[in-house]
Amino acid sequence: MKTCHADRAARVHATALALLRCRWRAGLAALALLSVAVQLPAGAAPRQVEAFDAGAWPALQAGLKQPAVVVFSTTDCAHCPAVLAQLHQHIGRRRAALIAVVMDSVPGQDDAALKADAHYRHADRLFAFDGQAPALRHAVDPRWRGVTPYVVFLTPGSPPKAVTGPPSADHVEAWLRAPTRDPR
Amino acid sequence: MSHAKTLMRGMLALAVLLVGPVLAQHDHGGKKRPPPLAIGAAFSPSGELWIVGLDAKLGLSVQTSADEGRQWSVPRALDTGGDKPVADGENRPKLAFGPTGQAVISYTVALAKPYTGQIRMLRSDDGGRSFSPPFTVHQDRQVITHRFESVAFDGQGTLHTLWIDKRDAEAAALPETVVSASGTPKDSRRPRVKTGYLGAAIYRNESRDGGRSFGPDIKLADHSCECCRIALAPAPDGSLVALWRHVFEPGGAATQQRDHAFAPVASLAATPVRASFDQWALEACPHHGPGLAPAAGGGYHAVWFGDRAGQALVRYGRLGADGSPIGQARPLPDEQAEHAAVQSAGSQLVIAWRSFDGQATRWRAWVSVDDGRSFALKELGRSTDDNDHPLLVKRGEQIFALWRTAQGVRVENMSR
Repeated sequence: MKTCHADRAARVHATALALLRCRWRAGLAALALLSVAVQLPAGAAPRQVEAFDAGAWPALQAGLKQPAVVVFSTTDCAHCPAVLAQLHQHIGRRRAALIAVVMDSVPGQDDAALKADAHYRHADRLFAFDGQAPALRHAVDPRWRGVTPYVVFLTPGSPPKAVTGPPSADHVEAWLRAPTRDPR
Repeated sequence: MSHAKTLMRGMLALAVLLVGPVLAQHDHGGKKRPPPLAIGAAFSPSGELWIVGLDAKLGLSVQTSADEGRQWSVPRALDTGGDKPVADGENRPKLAFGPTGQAVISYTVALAKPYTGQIRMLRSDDGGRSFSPPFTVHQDRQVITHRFESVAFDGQGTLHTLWIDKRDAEAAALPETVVSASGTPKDSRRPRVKTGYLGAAIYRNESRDGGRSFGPDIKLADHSCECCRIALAPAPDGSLVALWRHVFEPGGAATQQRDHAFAPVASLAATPVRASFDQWALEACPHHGPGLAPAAGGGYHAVWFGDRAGQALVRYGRLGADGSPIGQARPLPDEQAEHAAVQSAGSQLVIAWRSFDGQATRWRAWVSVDDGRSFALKELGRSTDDNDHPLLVKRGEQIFALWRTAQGVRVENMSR
């Protein structure tokens, strides 16, 4: 998750600065900073393609501990890469997860290609539709007829907010600044 | 034969297709999955119903039925030379039969880069008993978008292929400095510059020998939507007309609207006519192309999905002979309708769609016997399994509805 990367990066940063106080360890510090650069792309590529089945959407919401934005996409959605990049940039180092759901591929069909796709490299989690597509969409929003990108902003303790197409910067900022309430 | 028996035999036939090589099915976490369900369908000149789709090995297969879908042949795998055809949503394999024994099967294969593809074809001179090795239909070989093809023979036997093509969008976005002398990009990893070119383009070509050779790639229109099917229909003179989702800019680039455009396919100087006025301002992919069929009283019947003043619905409308709308479009009697198909035969008109009611996907149709002046709603079926978009095919003056679910292919004769 993005927060894990950020925490790990902060720890490595602190270690590197401590090392810099000792001249003889400057070389090691440089190495540590280099490792930060390697680890800190904005979100490492997802390691697996998870199944977005009938239970996935309720589970995503029930297990929400921090804000998350879910981008429903397809492998031929010309507008989706820019939205994923935009959201990744907006989130930056803040505590929020970026989740991509690919609707025209099933888990196991071409996982290697999905994981290697640069457009999903900033996603903390990567899902693929697994089941009756109209039912999966209906569970997310009965009014949604499959237009992509379909962007759903999740905040613990608040109802989901959906945007069809690129969300405005103001919309994203409002979501990131929204107070998180304990859903219990 | 009752519908139940028809369904059972269809299910058995598809079960062979799906369950056969079980080991080759997708296995993800121990869960077996059927292949993608999108199929193409057509009647052969001899009256057999053909379907083409992916089998359990994700290879291309055809099946035929001589009794309107009650019994199906054993799936026949086609040699696609290692191609991995796409069969999802509106990007599906297609079948077309020519007047003198020709048959073609088209499909898209994805290329190495995301969002790219090329259109491939198999051709037959013996009515589909044997097929050629696959070949690429278009002359352009760039690793860019060539997808969402539609194929049809016109009244003279000329094969027309239309597709969505991004060569113009790519050219507009490519910085001059990274183009080599041969015209190919020197470094495709360099970021493209966003330009004002909206959407993609509709390209086409013709073959006068059933797919043995093709003429040049010809641009039909700039600024199509990028990921919706292209609808084709016969014109009264035997030529073809096309309807597609288009990006209109009534007030400049800031006011793009994804409505529909109509044009004669083979016209040398066709200016697309705006065929719908939902005024859907959207910077996104609907994945929801239109349908088109000739009207007995002249002009055409059209169905499409669009958001008009916040109402996202599938609508039916009449178009004039030039593609301009006649009267007000009418919503289908189902707010959840999606992926509607339309087919006509004389004054018979059938619109078929699917809709999810919260529990299952319903297969429904709107049927008219007076050229669209009045309609009756018919419930054709429902399924809790994964399912394909509904199809309509025509044999003479009869219209047939097809729907593939994970359990099989259902066929209904809508003209009885």
